[in-house]
Amino acid sequence: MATGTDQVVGFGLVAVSLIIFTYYTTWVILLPFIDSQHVIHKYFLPRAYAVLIPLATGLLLLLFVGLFITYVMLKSRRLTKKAQ
Amino acid sequence: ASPGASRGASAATAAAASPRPPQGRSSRRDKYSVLLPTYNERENLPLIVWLLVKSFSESSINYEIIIIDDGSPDGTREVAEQLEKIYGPDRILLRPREKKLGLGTAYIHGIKHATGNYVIIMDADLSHHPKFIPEFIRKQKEGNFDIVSGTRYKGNGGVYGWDLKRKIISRGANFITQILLRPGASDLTGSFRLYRKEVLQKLIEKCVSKGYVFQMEMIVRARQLNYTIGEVPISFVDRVYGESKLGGNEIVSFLKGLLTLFATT
Repeated sequence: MATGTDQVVGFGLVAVSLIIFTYYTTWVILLPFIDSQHVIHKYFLPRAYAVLIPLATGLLLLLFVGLFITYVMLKSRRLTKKAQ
Repeated sequence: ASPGASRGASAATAAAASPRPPQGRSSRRDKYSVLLPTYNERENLPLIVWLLVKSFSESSINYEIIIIDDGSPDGTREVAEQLEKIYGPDRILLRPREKKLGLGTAYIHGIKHATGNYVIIMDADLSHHPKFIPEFIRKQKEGNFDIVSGTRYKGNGGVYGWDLKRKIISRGANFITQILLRPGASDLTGSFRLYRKEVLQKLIEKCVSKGYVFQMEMIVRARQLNYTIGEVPISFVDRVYGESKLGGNEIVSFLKGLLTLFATT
């Protein structure tokens, strides 16, 4: 079943997503209520990036999925042509 | 030939659902037909049949095993004939077909010859262990379910013999499906299930897709027709010999099927 490395990778994925979740939540929800002179602001990018980065990632992901599907479909079409 | 050849069956009959037999009926009258579609399973067939017979006779269940061989070139059919002689033709029924015609039609073909009131479908390549069948039956009786599905994603269920990539793809596919279709069952692409005979008959009539999507469609249509589904955790063991395929093509056709189901249900 769950072998050692698989389990490590799984826990790793969970940990990474938890870290991203807490970081993003502080960035977007907590920071606006903290005084702008506070040191904590040094650890975060300007707020505009809170929208830009996820948007860019989403677009990249979509592009990747699209490319993958086109590639597979083109390949299978070429194969069926060859078979005929 | 597609499993949905008779798809034209009117939707009105669907609402009728299954006439449920009264709960208190003597369980000794229940008979379970196991459908085993085979293609080149010469080595695995005697083992799986032995395991089936063992787990059935240990829990004294009335059963029959229907072997549907699609003209395997490796002589699976001869092996099945010998098994028929050993265990008796009332226990092992050999119903071969001339050539490879697909899973859906294999089930239709098998149901025609099934005399039990419940049908169990499973793979003959030893990835499904018959020891779970008594649990399926217990589960079915417990909730009077129309379908009991084995699940890899609940309780003690799991998968042996898959690498990380395969596990991640499987989980991902399952996740997307759960969100899009809300099927009410945790394992959609598994093929270790117990059906009421008439339920399976009606479902196969309605299903049009093939491959991975076929099993998924069965559950989704079942939900649509208001059949009840119970689940039993199983451990799935990937076939030791022979590669089970999962490439770009499989992923894309899975997605296509998923979207078709999303649009049509």
